[in-house]
Amino acid sequence: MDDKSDQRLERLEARIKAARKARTPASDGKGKGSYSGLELAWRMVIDLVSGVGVGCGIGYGIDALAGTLPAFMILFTILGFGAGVRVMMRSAAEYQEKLNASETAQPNTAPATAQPTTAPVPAQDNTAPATASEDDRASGGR
Amino acid sequence: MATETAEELIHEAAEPHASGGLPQLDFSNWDSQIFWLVVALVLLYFLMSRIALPRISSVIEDRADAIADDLDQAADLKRRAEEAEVSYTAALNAARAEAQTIAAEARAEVQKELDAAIAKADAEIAARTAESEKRIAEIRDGALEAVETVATDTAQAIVAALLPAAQDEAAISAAVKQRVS
Amino acid sequence: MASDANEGSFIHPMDQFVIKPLFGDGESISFITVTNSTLWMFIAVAAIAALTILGTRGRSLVPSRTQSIAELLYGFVRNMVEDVAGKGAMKYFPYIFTLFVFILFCNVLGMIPLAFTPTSHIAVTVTLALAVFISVTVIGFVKHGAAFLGFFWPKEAPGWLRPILCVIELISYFVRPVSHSVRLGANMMAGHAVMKVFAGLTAMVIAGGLGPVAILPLGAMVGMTAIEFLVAFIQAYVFAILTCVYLHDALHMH
Repeated sequence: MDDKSDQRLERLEARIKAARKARTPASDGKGKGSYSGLELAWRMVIDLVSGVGVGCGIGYGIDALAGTLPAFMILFTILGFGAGVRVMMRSAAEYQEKLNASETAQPNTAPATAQPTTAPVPAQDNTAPATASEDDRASGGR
Repeated sequence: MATETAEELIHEAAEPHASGGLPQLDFSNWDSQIFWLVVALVLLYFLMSRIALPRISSVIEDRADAIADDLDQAADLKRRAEEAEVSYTAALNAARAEAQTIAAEARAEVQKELDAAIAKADAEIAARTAESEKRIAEIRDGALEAVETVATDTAQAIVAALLPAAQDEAAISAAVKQRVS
Repeated sequence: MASDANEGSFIHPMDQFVIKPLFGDGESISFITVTNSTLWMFIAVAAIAALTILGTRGRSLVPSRTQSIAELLYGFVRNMVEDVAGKGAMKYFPYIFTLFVFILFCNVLGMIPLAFTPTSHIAVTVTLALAVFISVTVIGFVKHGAAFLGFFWPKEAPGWLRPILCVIELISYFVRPVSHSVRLGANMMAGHAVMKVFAGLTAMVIAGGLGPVAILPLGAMVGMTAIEFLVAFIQAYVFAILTCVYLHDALHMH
């Protein structure tokens, strides 16, 4: 009966700790999103195409105002392409950064997420010293 | 789907260009879409920012507080249980020690009584032994005397029988005494 | 329907996007005309209100099912804003939350058969993207003043290249609302159109007397439906997260 209550106390302690730990990392969040690579590729294509489109549109607008039809349109289409590439590269860098961040964050987040599932394990670990101390006491009493 | 296509057919009949290009690029309805979108968004924004979000955030905060309180309480109760356990083991150990001392005392008392009894018995035995020895010694002395008397008598008789002339009682008893002892 | 089949297109995949007035004979659509798009926008608003206001009216510590969904949405968007846009952007959290749930509900409600998807229309997505674009730009200028223009001036590039890069930066800034709106609209439109194509194909195969073969387009449609639900969520998420990224740029200038 004595060692049973000891075990129960240890288990309670483990549960309180797990509950506290599960509550603290809530502010850390879980990295920057998790959309797939396919989504990113689709995003880049749209960025590139709309870059060219916007460049073309701005060039056409200037041409229409200035009356130099093909010149600015060609120039700005090229610049728009550059802008599209720029946006694409930025989102690629962002994605890379996110990958790195999630890789470095992995060791941090892994135990936190694993906490609830492995909760019985520390409880079991704690029973070992508990029974050992119980043995000590029993032999000391004799 | 059937009703939809039927409606579509009617619609196509009424508006022939809808089946042509993308409906999305039919600019004639953009102002309606945009107007109602803005109305819907403004309405939704006010509903969210005035009612829904404050309520949800307050509920979440309340819950966080309640959980924190509960955890503190659980930790407190656990601490108290541990204290109770410590005092329980202390009491148990004290009781055990007391029991041991009582047992030792009882044992010592019994030992003392036992020792006393043994000593008494020893003394009695010694006394009796001494008495017996004394008596034995007396008996032996008695026996020796008797032996001397018998020997002297026998010797006198033998001497009287063998040498009637040499009847010297004193000499015979002295000789017997010398021999016997 | 028979005449339609004779024309070669059993179900026109684009017909689902046609905007029809709900009342009257629909000859002309003025700006206050209530159309099917309007109806579904307000169904989305009503559904959101039902979930986040009626669903949470218990304010219970142990949430009911609807309340926990509302809290899940809240926590999801809140984490996103905090992580991506930073703590300074929490002021704009209701704005982003509104955009996210509105797009999400429009997208998901559009998955109901015969429903209309307002977010499949460029008019709607352009308005949403412009709202984000203008508000983010205004926030940038209010917070940094004229210094916000430095956002477009590349400091690390060699001198002669800077004007060109500046133009490129400017264009890429204006690319944002375009790609922002095109992405959402095109995704929603393409997915729904493809589903209609498969549905039409299934109906055509069955009408053509090849019953068992219809399992192929039908299976494809089931798969597409699953993907479409995912896309409905991801597009709302991407829209919101990019809004957060833009907001972060405006608040911190990189």
